[in-house]
Amino acid sequence: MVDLRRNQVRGSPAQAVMVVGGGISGMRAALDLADAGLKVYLVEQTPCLGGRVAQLGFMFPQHDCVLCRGTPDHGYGCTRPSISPAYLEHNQHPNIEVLTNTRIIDIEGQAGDFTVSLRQEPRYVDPERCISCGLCARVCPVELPDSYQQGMTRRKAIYKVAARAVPDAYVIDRGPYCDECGQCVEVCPTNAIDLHEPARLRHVEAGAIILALGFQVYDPTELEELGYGRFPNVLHAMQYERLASRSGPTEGVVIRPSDGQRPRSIAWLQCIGSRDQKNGYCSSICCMYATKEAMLAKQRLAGQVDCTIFIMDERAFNKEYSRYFATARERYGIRYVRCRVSGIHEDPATHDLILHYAEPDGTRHEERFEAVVLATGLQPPESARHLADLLEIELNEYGFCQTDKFTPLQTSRPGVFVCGAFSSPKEIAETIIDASGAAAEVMRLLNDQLNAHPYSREWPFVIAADGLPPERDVSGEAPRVGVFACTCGKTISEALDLRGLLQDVARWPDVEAAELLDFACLPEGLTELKEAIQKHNLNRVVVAGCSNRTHDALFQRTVRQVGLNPYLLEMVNLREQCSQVHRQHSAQANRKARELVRMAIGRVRAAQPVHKDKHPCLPVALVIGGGVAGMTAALAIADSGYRVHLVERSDALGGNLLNLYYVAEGYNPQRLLRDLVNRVRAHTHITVFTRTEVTRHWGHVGHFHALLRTSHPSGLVEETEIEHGVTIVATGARETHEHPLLELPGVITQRELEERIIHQPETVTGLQDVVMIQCVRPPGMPDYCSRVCCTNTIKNALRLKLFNPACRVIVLYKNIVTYGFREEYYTEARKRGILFLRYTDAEPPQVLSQDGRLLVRVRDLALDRTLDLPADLVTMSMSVAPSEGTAALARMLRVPLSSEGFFEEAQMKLRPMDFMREGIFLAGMAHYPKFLEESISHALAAAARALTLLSQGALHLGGIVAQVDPSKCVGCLTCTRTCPFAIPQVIQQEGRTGVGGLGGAAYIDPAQCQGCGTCTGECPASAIQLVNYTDEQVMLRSIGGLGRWLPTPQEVAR
Amino acid sequence: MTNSTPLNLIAYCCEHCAYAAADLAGGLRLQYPPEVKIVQIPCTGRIDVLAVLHAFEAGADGVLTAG
Repeated sequence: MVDLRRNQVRGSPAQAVMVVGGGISGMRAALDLADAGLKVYLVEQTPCLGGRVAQLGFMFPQHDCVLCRGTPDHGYGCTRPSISPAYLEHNQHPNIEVLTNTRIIDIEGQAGDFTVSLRQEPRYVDPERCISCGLCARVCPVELPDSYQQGMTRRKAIYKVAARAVPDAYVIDRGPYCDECGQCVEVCPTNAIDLHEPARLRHVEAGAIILALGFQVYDPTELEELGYGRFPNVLHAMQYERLASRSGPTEGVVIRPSDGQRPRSIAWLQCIGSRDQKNGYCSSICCMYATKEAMLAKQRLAGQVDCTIFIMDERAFNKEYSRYFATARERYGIRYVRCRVSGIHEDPATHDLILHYAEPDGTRHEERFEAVVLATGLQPPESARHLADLLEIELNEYGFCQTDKFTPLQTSRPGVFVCGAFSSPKEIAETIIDASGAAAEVMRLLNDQLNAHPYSREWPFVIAADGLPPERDVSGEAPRVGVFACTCGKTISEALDLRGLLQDVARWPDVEAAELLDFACLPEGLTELKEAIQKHNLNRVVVAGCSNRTHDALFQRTVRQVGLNPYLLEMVNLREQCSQVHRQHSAQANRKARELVRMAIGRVRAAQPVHKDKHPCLPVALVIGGGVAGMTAALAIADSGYRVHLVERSDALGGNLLNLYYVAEGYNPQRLLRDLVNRVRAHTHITVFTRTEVTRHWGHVGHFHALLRTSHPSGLVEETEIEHGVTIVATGARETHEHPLLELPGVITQRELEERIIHQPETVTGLQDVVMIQCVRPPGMPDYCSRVCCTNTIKNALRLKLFNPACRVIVLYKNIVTYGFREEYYTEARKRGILFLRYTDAEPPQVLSQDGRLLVRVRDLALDRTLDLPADLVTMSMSVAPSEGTAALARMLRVPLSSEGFFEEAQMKLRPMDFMREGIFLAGMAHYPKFLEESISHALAAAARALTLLSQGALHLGGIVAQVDPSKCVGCLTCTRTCPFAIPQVIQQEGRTGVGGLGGAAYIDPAQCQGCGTCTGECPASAIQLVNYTDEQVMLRSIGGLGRWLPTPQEVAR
Repeated sequence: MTNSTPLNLIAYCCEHCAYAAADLAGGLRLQYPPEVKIVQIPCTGRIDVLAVLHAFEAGADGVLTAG
């Protein structure tokens, strides 16, 4: 009998997606999928989410602290609302099930219908009941090196991976050293520990799988000549990251391990475990992170340290990175030496390290450093090989996931996708792009499942869409405040006298109930809370316990469950910001606790219900730009079931792809072009407007308007107004052509050479001497790395060598930027006899025309003399600049530009495809020069972000936003100038008159306002108030912050 | 009497960064003087001169904005 069931499963039950790896890419992919209404299993093999990024203190190039900008040192995802409040503890997305300590043990089925078997190792501590009080770790007798701190400190066998790990709970490391003494079980106040917890097996149905396995840091022990492991002051990069992190073992003070002293000189050695005989690839991030680490050393040690980086090429190939290197060199005085150091010696008396190295001109040096950091490269994750065998996916020769250039996020097995460093070494921004891009691939595959699991963002917490009871109208009621203090076991009550506090509180104005709870956050505590609210008919609630950042969502949801608006709740952070940080000052801590509670009561008395506005999201996208990025994004959205207007300025789709004939990897881009154009043209959901420009764009997320102007060949100009829910900007970039040397015969751009190679090979096969000059930019253009030119130059140079092996090809360069696996082509080029000569900005090459022949004069740094290179042909790699009209489009969309003139994203590392203006996304070279596969990933990422909005029936906008009282507005435009997001506008509207019958008044669109409150602070007429942070809720006197409402009992007695 | 009156220091902390940092300090049990009272704000942009002056008027001895 044939088993038909397998074939029928597709489409019937709501299908889930499995994301393997809980690092930054796995979390991002899971969030996007959950937001699009798919059910997600997020599988992580360690006890907590976060991955490698959790161990970093700061991110280059903006030195955003990972604490506030992103990631999971302390929680889950960025705390900026638009990145992921959904991930803070107790506010997990209802569509995501996190499975920590879990591995895949088997998989069967096919795309759309996988069955995955999982094994979840016991944690021994129930994360639902653990309150992170730390009593267990205090009594645990077993001490072990702390791997989170890279072994530089010690932890107990029962431990929390990081201070703010997610899940926010302890875990037992049950190695042979744990003898089950059971002391932790005895002290645990919530009975969260079960030493007999078994491992669990689970079988999960998933329609698609995303592999976000990340990477592992190269272990330099095998390079014995560097002395890692033998010389205490030789550190690897991750150890240094912990040392320089504020949450590290030294709280951010950089010390050297041998004596704990602050080093006065540190050397970084680049390319450890990369660009060598064994690992032939470039790890892509080390140049940048070493520069960051050196800057941190300068900052942390107040400049009392000399930093030297031994580097081969400065690979600063992303936005603002060139400037970052310049800052390091000029402002911080960091020294770069072009050299690969081959060995380290130690002075045994001082443990100083002695480096022998040669400058580019051959002079030899011996130099002493007090510490050395090895800029270790990236390797495929340990689990990759095993998992690849299990999933039957191909790995490349280095063990990274094999992908195709035109489908960079697909593995060799249909339905299994890849993102992040598992497919090639890459930094955070690229990883995030990949993650959202992979989510788009899944949305396309499982398009019938979009919004299958609806959820609601109507409240500050995310919940499944099915109901809450109707909200109670408290508008006519006088405040009835209930104050609930949580002992948190003894975590808070052993430091603070909560009973005394509540006695006082009970006598304060409007307080109707003051109760002590043992564990407010556990189910029994929440029940008590709800009962008390109902019993006392409370309409305002204060919970004094732990941080609102971790528990706001939980208590807001709880009060909402008994009919109160979530904004009628106020939390007092007695745990993180009082009892835990003032242990030596009991009396003062108690006084502070009273003041904090009084302020909270003051705030909550003034609190008003807050509601968001419900807006439909039009199921239509506008994509501006018909190049590879625009077409890819349009197809991803259209394939997922939504309509797309694709607008292209020229008369043909294709953009730069029209002029790209072959790529270093050997694929045929023209095949991709044909494929994309055919699919776009034939797609019933896509309307293509060629010869069309967007001339106006207005509205807000969910409901934009745009005016399109089409210039027909006949001269007829047609205007069309469209309405759409989201906009994707994919306007691309162009190779510049403005340079006086290009007027010389025999001097062409690199792209022109490519055209000749393809269309007029006869003009290049006979060439004897070709000089290729890198990094040429038109006069007056900012200096930045155009990212793609080195690889293109090498690609063309290799082709010339293939035509004519006798042809002498010389590449004049500043830095060869063949990052990732592109390093192979650089190696190949040198093997084939292509010569590479480095030049500096101080002495750029000159192109001369002598007796009808070209001559390139360049300073050879190794020989220290000037060479005259004869040339039949000179090619110049011209800068890649933003497309014409980029600045005008930016003004129209009211989005900013970067210093290089490209569009500026919302946040460089964590939101590289978003704009700060919601509902507008960025794809491809409009962001920065990119390779084809990078543009494709970026376009998919933008599509995924757009789909998270399009798939929602309704958007909830507004809430905590600024509101203008028109009758107070004098129309001074201060708000329009100070708003960082350019949202306020002074408009004329019926019923909206300013002071003295002024014709117009400021208007702040609640659908766009980000709620920062800058305008409220600046408005000279106090006409603007920020909801939930009004003057009467913030000003200290109004909320009784430092005053006293009632005399203390002692004073009464007197 | 004056020397027994404890100081009142108000710290306006942006909820996205400085406030989160104060939470992390709590998680790591880093000790600091109890005179500091943290007021959470949505963004340091919300704080204007008046908010600072009002704090002094209400009896603060020092005001810190962090974000």
